[in-house]
Amino acid sequence: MGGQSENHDENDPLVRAARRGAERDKRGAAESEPSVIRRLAQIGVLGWVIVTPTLLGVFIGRWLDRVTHSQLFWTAPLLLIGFALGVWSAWKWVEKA
Amino acid sequence: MRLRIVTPLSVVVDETHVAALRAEDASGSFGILPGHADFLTSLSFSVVSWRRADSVRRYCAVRRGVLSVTGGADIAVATREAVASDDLEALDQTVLARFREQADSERVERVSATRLQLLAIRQIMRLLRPERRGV
Repeated sequence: MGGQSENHDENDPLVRAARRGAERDKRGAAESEPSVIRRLAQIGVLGWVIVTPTLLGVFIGRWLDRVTHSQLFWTAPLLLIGFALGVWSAWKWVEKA
Repeated sequence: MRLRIVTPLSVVVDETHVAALRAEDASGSFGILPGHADFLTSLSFSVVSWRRADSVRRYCAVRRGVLSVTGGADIAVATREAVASDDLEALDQTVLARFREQADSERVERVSATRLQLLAIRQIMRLLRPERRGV
């Protein structure tokens, strides 16, 4: 009999309403639309994701050129590789977001 | 705003400085901010939630009820049963605990009422016993 009343309690509309409220709150926190500032930050990050590897490539290329006394032998390809890497990781990141 | 949630037996919530309130009726969920037009609606089985001026959120499960807003500053909810809590996640457990408590106190009441009745009958029997009359 105790089990039956327990079951009856579980199915009470008041309990179900409380559960529904909690579930909606959780879903609202998980799926809500991000704010405008967050969106802008996302765009900003996208820029940096492309620019940072490119710059890194340029600096490493410059250093290698100075060490090996070549003119643009390392700088140009490393710049391109850095840019490609940046675009690729940005693409990955956008897909994930 | 001032918020009062009352049941036939008790005042469950009586708070001033309510900044915003959400509730639910047959047409869905709605919000009340200070300065709302006078308003009357019947709530469904739902959770009334509100934010206080100190930005603490509180919740109250209601067994249907009537919500009224008067003067843009006074919210009153009259309901059959209300269980308030600070934690929405644990609100269902709070409601279940309340049910258990009620069942327990009902049982205790029934036992003591029966005991009282038996004592009364015993007393009457003692007084009506025939041999007492001769004394």
